[in-house]
Amino acid sequence: MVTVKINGKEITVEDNTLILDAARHAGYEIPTFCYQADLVGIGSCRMCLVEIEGQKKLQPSCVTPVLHGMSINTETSTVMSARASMLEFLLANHALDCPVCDKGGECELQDMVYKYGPHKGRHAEPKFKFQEKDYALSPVIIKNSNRCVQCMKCVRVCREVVGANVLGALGRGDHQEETSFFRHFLDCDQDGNCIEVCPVGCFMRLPYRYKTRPWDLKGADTVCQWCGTGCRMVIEERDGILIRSKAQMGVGLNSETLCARGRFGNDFMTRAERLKTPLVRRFGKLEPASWQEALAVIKENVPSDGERIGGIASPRLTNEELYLFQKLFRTIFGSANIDSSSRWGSDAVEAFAKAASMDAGGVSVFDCMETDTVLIIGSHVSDENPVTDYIIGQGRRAPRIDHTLP
Amino acid sequence: MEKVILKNLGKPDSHKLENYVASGGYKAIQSALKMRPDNIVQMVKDSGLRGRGGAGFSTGLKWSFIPKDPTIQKYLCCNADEGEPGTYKDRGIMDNDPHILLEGMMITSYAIGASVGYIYIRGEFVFGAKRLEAAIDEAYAKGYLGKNIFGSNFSLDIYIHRGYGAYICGEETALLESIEGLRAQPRKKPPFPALAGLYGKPTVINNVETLACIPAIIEKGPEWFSKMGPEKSPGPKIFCVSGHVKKPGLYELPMGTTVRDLIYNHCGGMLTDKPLKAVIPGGVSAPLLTARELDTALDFDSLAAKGSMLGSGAVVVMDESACMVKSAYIINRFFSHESCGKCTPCRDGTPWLTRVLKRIEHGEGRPGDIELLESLCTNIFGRTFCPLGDGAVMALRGHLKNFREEFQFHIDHKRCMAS
Amino acid sequence: MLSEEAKKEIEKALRKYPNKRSAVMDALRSAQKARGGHLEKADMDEIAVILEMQAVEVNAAAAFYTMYNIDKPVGKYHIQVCRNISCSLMGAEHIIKHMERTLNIKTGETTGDKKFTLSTVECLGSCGTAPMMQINDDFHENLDEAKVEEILKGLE
Repeated sequence: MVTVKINGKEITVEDNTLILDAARHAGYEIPTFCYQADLVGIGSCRMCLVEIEGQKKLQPSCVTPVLHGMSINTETSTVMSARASMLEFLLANHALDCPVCDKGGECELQDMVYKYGPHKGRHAEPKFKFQEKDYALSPVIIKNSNRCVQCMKCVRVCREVVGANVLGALGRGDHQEETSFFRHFLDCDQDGNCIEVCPVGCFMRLPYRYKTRPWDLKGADTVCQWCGTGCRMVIEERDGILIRSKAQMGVGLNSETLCARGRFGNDFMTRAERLKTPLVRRFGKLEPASWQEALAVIKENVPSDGERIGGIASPRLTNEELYLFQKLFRTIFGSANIDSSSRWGSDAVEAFAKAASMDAGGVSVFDCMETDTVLIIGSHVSDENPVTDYIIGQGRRAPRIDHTLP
Repeated sequence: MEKVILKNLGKPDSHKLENYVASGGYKAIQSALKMRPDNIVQMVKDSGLRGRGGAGFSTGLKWSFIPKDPTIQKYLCCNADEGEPGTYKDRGIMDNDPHILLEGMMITSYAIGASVGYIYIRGEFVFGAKRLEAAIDEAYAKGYLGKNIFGSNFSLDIYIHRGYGAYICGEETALLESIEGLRAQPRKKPPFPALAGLYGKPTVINNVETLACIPAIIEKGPEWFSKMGPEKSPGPKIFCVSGHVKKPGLYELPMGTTVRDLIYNHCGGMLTDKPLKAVIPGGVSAPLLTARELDTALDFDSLAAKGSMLGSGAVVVMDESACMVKSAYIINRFFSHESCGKCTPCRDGTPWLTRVLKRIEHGEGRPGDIELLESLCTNIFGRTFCPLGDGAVMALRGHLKNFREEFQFHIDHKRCMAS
Repeated sequence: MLSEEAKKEIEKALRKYPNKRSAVMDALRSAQKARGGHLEKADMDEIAVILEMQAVEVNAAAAFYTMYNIDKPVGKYHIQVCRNISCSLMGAEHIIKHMERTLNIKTGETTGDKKFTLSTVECLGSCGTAPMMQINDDFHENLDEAKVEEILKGLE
């Protein structure tokens, strides 16, 4: 443990804690664009510069670990003016087309300028423009490089977390542009994690384009039901229409990531074709019915003997839903015949689970990554459970070499 | 003074191995191979040799940070990415005497325990790369490179890695990224290259001129070297003189030679009868000196005391016809062109400076522009990821400090004061 | 398709390094030479396969360095005139203007017969012999109008 002073306040943190984390822990906000806990630190945006007593230059708190006895100041006038000056530099070449930018209202650059300044512009020169028009990188991703703040999070999350590695930085200096191979359509799964981590309106979702403003959206925290990974996400609607779903940094096992289905595939929820009422088969034909009618039909047909009824639950249900499902069967129907298709693997899987003493209960995917070897049997995890695949991939790239069996 | 580094310059076919050997070359490596590696490190430390690439860090000390464990792969990288405007000394060595560099690399590799050396040469130096390649081939053919050189237990391979147009590769960690096939953006330090450098292995990165000093230190001893020039930055130094002098060129002189001595005694004085106006003493990052400061000694500490620096030893001389606004603009344009794009203040700050300077130079200056430039300098300096942005600021500050009235004149009269 | 010669050069470059990626700069240089002075997407696709890199990584490496001419074909002779401080003091702007007049193109352009491309560059490390320029691989130093005329005449 290391004891340091931050703005005069003494705190004790673990060895090798970054100054930025220590300061946040002590209750001081430090702005940053390029820092993200699960990415390798690059210390490039310079928003997080702080004063360390005894050092002449301001230091980047996102890549500098605390040392015993350090005295750090994060709110002096020098630090504050450094923050404002970095923002001024970023704005110098920024498009400043906020009124037509999809990020308006939830833009980190906007928020930081509002908070730290500068509140007056001095850059009166012509700006460098990457492109006149936004360009699509896929059917769901659209790009405006004139708004980029060069935090590289898009490139880094694609390489370090997703493992697709299809984004790169072309050019250098103020002509540096994070984009695809020759700015062509991306050869990837279109998961859009680059959009999720973009702090500004540079990587944007095409289906969301010009639909609404973020302050008009109502969100709900939920769990994605596309696969068994169980990613946490927020779905947002306006006037009863689902507009978008997004991940939340640090929430759920998926943290900032979602897969293509989780991010772009939820619009079916508010489609007209979706079933909104129960259907009851009458004279061989399914017809809409009220819940009351439907329940009456069920009550009529459920045998009183629990042995004669069984329930099959989808493997995509959440633990809470599965709990309610078994409760319904056990207490109302008096039946213990409950199963889920996730258990219908091959005999080999069952035998392996037994041999590895895993039949007593599962372990988390993160615990699996602590082992020397990961065997994946009976699943094409990158297609079926992409976010699980990211987690496995991060372990693989780490580089504790694991094997994936088909 | 007897030349040490450029001793073979001007001799016929000085680039050939046989001529290098005839002039006493490849003796130092043979003596070195009979010494213990840590003794060589100590000798270089004792010599007081400081890196000739610009930073002036003690070469022996740099070597001593390399872990001693013989089971760890170590690398030597020769920084031949000579790109600081005004500088052409390393090119002079590589074009004319490539074997002195190879011998320096051999001794250094032996001292630090490296079995592989890379020469990072800038892409534009095609001639120099060919000369080096031929020299390396000659050395292999003679058994001076490869397995068990000179019959010792020491083996060394040297390869050429050619840059392709990026000044930032002269920054040592950017150079490593470039060899590894990545975009050459500087790495964060720590870890320092001595512990985790090329391919994550302990690595020493030395400038061409630095390495070319090594054979003489082995042959003539550290004391001989340390007695040349000022106590704290001793040894021979190549000055690359360009601009308005009669005889521009490479001059190998003791450290501590004054600017006046260099220009008027060695370079034959000013090009025309126009008087001297300013001198950039160490490559364009170094703040310029004025005519009043010609007695400044050219060495690391004397120039630092004057608020400038020795840098690469590139001396650019300007007479009264030179416009300081134009000079500031050209130099700043260079830095913004070469900014790698990694950090905010350099990436977005240096082009901003260039835009303002361009306006002033082209008669579109506005009141307040000088103050704006100064304020931007404050906001860049000391806040960038690597020294490139600082270099841009130091150069501009040097111009503003000494020639502020020229900038003001440009803004007020929309024309140049000098012409 | 990369030429056989380029492929051989890449093979040779690979022997210098402990990993394949390090050969990317040599590979790009060979590919550019094979194409006569510039690079195209197909070259990078092919290099990516040989060096087991993502195509975008090859693209990013190439686009960082100014000497790779991506999608920008150059003339048979690529003239690069230095315009940084030492050359400027010795009259580089004058040389550039003279070149533009003689070749009847602006800086950055290529002559109609695809013979010459004129560019300006920032310091080629030949400051003691300013003003200077580089034509393809060769340096030409201590330039004045007459010398420029002579050099251009000598280029077939």
